[in-house]
Amino acid sequence: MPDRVPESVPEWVPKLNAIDNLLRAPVRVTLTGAMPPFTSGEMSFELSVTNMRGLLRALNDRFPGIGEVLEEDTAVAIDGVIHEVVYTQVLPPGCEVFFIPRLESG
Amino acid sequence: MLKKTENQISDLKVVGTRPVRPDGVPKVTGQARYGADYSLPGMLWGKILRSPHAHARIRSIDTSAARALPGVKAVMVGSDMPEQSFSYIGPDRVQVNYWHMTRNVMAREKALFDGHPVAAVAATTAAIAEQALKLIKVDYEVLPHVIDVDDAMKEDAPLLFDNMITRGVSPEPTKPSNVSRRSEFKAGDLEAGFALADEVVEMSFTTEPVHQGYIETHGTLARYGADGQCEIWSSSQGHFMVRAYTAKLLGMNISDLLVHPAEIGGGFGGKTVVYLEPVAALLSKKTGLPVKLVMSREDVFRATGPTSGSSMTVKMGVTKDGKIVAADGTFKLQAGAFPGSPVMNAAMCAFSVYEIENARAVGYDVVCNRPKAVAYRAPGSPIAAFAVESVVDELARRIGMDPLALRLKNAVKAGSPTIWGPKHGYDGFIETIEALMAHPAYKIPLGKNQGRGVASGFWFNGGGESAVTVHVSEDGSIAIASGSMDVGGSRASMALMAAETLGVPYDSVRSTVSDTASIGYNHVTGGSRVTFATGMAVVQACEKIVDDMRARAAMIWDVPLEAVSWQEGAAHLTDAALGEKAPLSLKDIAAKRAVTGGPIVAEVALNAGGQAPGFSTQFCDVEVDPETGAVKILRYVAAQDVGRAIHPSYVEGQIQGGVVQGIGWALNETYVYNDKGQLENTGFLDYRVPVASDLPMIEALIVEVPNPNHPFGVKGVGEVNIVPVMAAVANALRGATGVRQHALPMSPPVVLAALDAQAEEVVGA
Amino acid sequence: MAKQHVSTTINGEAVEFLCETRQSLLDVLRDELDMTGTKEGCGTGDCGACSVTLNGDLVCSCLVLGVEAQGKSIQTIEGMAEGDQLHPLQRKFLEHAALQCGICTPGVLVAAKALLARNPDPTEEEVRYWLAGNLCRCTGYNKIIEAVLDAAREMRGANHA
Repeated sequence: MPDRVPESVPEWVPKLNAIDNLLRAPVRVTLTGAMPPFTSGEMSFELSVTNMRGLLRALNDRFPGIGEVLEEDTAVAIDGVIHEVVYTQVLPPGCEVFFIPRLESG
Repeated sequence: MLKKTENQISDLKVVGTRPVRPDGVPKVTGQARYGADYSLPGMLWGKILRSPHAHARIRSIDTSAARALPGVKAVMVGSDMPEQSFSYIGPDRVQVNYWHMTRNVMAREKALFDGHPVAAVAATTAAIAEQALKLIKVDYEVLPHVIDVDDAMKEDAPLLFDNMITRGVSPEPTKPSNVSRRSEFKAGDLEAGFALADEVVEMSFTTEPVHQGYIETHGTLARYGADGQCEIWSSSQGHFMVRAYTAKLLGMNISDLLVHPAEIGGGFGGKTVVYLEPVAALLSKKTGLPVKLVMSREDVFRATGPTSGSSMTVKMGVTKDGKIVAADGTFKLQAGAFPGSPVMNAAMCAFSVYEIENARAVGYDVVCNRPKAVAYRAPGSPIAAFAVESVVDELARRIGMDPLALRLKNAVKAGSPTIWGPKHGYDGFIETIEALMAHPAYKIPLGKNQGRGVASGFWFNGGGESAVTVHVSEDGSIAIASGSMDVGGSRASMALMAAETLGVPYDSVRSTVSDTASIGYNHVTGGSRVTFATGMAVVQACEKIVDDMRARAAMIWDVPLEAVSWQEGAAHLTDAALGEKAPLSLKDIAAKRAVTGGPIVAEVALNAGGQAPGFSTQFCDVEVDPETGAVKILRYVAAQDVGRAIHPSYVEGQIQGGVVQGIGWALNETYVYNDKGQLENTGFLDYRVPVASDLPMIEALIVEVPNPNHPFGVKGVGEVNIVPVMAAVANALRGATGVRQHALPMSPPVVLAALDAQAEEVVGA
Repeated sequence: MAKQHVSTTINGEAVEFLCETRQSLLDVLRDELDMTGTKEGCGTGDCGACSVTLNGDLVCSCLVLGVEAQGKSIQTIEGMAEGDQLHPLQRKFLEHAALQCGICTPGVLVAAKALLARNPDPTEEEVRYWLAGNLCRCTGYNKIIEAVLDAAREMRGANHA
């Protein structure tokens, strides 16, 4: 069974404890590949999120429709380590996230 | 679930040993059943009619005479399958388009390659089915065809698809072409980079398609019932893939299709798609009887996916003290009759072993009248590596630096940049170079007509979805079931990892592969993912069993859970204050399973990430016969970082097998088409793969830089070993003859012509 | 066309079957007699996956007609083990991991057994040339050669014992 994402306040909403938020380094996200149609060319972002679900929601709020493309068509490299795109994936503070085209096998 | 491994298991007792594999005896006694080995009562024989033309419009197909032949029970054509909408679905790199896929399984408007299926028949005997094929009348309008990638890209090339507009080009082209897509990856400033170079080398190369060459042809048996449920026995690299694609192409509910995994006789990527299953299932549906459909070797060569051929140009610059400052590559790969060459992989992998600040890789996916390309062992990467590693070899010569030293100086490690965005996550490459530098054979002096070549390679390796179930049987023995097809001994590796985690003897663990109804979804066996991802699931499931055992032991002893530990395959009472108890083995606890809650089962389903890429560095010594151009491999040493070798014999086997496939790719394998676009070498006599007498012993050097994201440190093993081989052989030839080869295969006539040309030049000078 | 009746010996047992004259021995073994241990890799005698012995000679069963089996003695992979005892070659193949997918293995085992029957002490080169007619795509041949040489060693030792 997948770990359940904690209930309560969605991760991307700024916390009531503003100091917490200020102290936590934002996640740096870069899109690669065929994303421009969604984002009008913007490829790099800094977002205050703690897991992949929050990240996808934040990007999708800004660029509607991109969430599904990222979920289905990409893999993600977090500080260089490649993962599938999974909601519960933890994003450490200040980490570097790249969305890359998904892998083929042989 | 994604659970980062906190403590890597150390002090290993079984992992790293070399026990006999659990599926071994059936395979050495002829009892193991592969795709063509199944039969059912009342079974019919299916045969496929294939286009003799490389490119033709299909005006009509008249099957009436075939239907009338006694013994024929059904005939089908492409339009008997539901139409699929035209859209590219899925990952950028591997986009599937079901409109293309259904036409690859059976043609509709056009035949696009010699061997393209156009109709199929099911009959009571194979002979009658063959006869029926001859009675099917197809009215073809033969069209001009195009075979090679450079020809297919020319202005006036015959078009396979009248409406193909190249994707990835902005602004969008107005005219159709055979270029399905363009991809580009870039970092830094090329001009500035090349300006820093003391030496610049730019060379062009071509490679031919090569087939995966599995000795087992495709074979399947399908039984479609009157209730709309279908069973398929098929050898493939993924029975869940077979189920998904077959259901999609036939418009079925996925759960109405049950696929049984037959043993597979080689895949290497070529069996990650379907050819026969939808046809056999549909024929079975029409007839109400099981249908067996097996390809001949000729069918396999004419109509199943080889990997792409290519036309490439690579330019690289280096300073005189060995720093690579810029790299620029253009990679044109032919996709065959439908889009989907591995060109994106080629572009991404091409420079991935080197830390180069200024680099660009551009890729073109080009269609032409040949069978559709399918994955082949690190798809795309070996093709690009042939070009790149040849150029790097020239760079080393220009500055007078040892090729291993040049690689060491520019080697990537954890934190190094890539041109496709993220930085590298892992070390491992440097260690493979150092392993070769330390190897005594690297210093063996060479004689006349002999040469030594070095090359390196990179491959991503995969993670993805795996599901595993572990049962403790009533006598305490263990059964592991996974959904990952076993191509090369993974059942043994799963059993080793389970035995290690549980602390039990290897022989008490049985490892099997379940059908699609019996276990959760498993991604294909490929991408070097199974020991990593399915292995991770096995370990996590066994850890759950351990927790379960401790809980049951606590119940049996009536003690708190914290007082129970699990060591060496048994539960121990650790708190002396609670008394002395003999340890409880799996057998003891299994005997008490009913009172402690019921059957002992654990299941883990995950989508694995955190896989580490593969790096390999290799050297090869060759001797050339100047009279014939024949190349003899004198010795071959391949170092590969595998993270941790779970079963070293199978790890060595993967390295040796990949190297030998690369040697065939380098020296002999190619497709020979006549001027009508028909394949002439449709068998192993003229499609020359390496045989035992061609080769020396291949030395596999296992390098272990563990992957912290896997409980045993595993990195995928199967693929990267093929990536450097063609360049290593070409570089060795360069050393032996003084001539750089720009085209694969480097067969005797090609080498001889190059030697003669060089001799003429010398004479002429 | 009426089928032909053939009487032959397979793995030491008397066997009778009916077949068309155009059917190969391989077709007969697999499709008429349900002996699917012998594999078809190419149908044209190039890959060796269909190797059997016919009166002691190593042949590709795809190149032999079913009717040619009349009155002869055939040995296939199914007859290699002695009851429940694996042949030393079979054991050594397992020990040395000389198979990965296993599709070429029946043919290689039959061919290797034929080699050791006439040359109990082959060199590595002799083994490689004898097995040149058996294609393997998975192993690169390394461990196959090692297994054959090791089995030969054991079989020579057993003979001297």
